[in-house]
Amino acid sequence: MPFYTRLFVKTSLVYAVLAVGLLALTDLASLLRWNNFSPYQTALHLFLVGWVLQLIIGIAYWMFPKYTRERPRGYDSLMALSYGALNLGLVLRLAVEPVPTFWVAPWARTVFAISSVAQWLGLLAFVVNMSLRIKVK
Amino acid sequence: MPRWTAIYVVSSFVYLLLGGAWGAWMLATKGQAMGGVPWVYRAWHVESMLFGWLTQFIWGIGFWIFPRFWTARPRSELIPWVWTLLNGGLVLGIWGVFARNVGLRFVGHVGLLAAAVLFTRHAWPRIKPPGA
Repeated sequence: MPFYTRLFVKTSLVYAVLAVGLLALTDLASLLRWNNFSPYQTALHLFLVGWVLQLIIGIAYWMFPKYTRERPRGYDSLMALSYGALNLGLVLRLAVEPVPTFWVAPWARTVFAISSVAQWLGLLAFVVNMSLRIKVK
Repeated sequence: MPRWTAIYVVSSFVYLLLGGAWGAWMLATKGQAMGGVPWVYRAWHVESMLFGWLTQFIWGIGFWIFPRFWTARPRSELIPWVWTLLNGGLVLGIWGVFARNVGLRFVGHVGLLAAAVLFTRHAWPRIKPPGA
């Protein structure tokens, strides 16, 4: 497996564990009436973006048709950007979203804004690199 | 990759970027007064990501890599219909979200159902042991 495949797949496995753990914490918070801790939406996004999307990115990077002989897997700089931006966005989200009283604070709004732009940039970098490798045979 | 896989993958990327942009807007406005605008239409984010991106990408790749019968992909004439029903259903469903029209959403979801039935009909015989 190429480096970025290993990186994305191993990271996705970590997110699968984190997402399910956070899901369990959601129930615990409800049972123990931790009113200021509500991580359900964060758990869903750690699952769908952190686990499912990053697993797909890693495997697609490995399996899609080659771009050129010199650059068989496209531009690795785009994959590095995709990995860095997606994970920065997810970690920032994880830091703020589960605690609703944070949301109205100005610093939290900045964190949400950075997180949302970072995650979308991560998607864009992946889409650009893989679009180069779509080849009809 | 087959031409129809390329079509499915490109379409799925469009939904990934559009649905992702909507989700980013929702996250960026969390806790703000204007946060209500994207959140009212969050079904568009959910459906474009789950069906437009994830399902469409998986079906496109499945059409490409599932086992073949010698060199043929059986019932591959269904694949353009699946794409049309899936994307037609998504567009109607999303239109229904913005128009707040449950009837349109219902028609859209029936389109998605028909697409799922036809893709299953295509893929079913290709899930087979080696040599079968």
